[in-house]
Amino acid sequence: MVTTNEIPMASDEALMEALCAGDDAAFDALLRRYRTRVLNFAHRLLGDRDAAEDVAQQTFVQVYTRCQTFRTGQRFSTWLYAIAKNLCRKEARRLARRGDFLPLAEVTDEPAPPHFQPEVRVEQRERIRRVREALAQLPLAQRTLIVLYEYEGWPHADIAAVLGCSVTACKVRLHRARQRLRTLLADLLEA
Amino acid sequence: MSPCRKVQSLLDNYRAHRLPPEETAAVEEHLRECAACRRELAVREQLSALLRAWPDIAPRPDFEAAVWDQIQAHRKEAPASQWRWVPVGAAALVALMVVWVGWWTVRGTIPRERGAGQNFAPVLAEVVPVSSVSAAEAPEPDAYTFTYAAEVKLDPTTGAVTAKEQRVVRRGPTVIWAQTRVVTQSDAGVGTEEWYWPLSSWAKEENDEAS
Repeated sequence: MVTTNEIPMASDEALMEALCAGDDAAFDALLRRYRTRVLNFAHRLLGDRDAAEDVAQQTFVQVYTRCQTFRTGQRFSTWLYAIAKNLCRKEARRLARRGDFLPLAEVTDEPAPPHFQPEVRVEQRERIRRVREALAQLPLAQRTLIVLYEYEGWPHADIAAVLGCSVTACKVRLHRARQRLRTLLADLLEA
Repeated sequence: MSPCRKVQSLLDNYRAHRLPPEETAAVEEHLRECAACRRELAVREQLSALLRAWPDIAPRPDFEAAVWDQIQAHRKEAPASQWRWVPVGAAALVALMVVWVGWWTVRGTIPRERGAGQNFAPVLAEVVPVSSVSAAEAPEPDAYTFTYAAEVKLDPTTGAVTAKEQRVVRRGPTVIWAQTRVVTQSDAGVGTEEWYWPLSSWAKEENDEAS
């Protein structure tokens, strides 16, 4: 069992063990540790702030309610992101069925950094719009790869574990996704 | 694999500083000599930088409270949801038992009895002699019994009437028996013969005979 003093330094897996033993403080620590990352993961996959908040919250609810399914020796982050990925896929289907999947290019819910000059902010906002538009054109599986690799900085082996594929397949799919992005963002890359 | 393809397959791990020193040195040596691989590395770095222009967002202030609210709601729903499958499970169990009894009945009895009783004409009504069973033959209070075949034969030369009933009888908490009873009524009086088989052993006997 992890004591209160040890919680900030405890590993994710130790916190999960404590959570399985009924320690809510361990869950709070995991929630604080991963909430921003899971939210941004969902946001980049779905392109919608509200949907991303819902998915991120549901992800943590599942961590709490299904903690007994976490296997000893498993890496917590892989398990967590696999839950988030599955919920994102379900949410993307729901949004697509309802026909209200937001065009990412039209969403401007985060400002450019305020210390930029106005003209730089306009340029920066345009670059963000283009990036979101390009990501939105990728299939969800490729988008997941790009987000885990480029934004989360995960190695191929961990991404493969989340996606349930081999490391080789992961590298091939990442290459294809990157090629597609290069085409979509060619003018910005050349600049 | 050509040197360029090999190096390009290592570029991701090279950028992330995940290569062992000797591979890092080999990649750097190749990059010094190969303009195409240098260009590939530059484009990957440009693409990463461009993607990271999309900044992170922060969770709303009520994020944690919303998670805990949903967990509390789940806790309240959980006991009800645990019990909601009980009626479905019970119905499935009953259906399974019916199928099981029916399957053993069909597999274990009908082919054999049809072969033995080709002269018997099927009778749809209850067979009177069979219904007057002795008290010793009556099912136990928790038992059930049902007739699935009844046949009657009239011997025109002797005038004897033979009634044959096949039933499934439960005796005891778990064992289900197949019962065949033949009642013969003639000038000499009424004679009754009956046989019981546990359905599983009966089926085994059938299989033994077949083999």
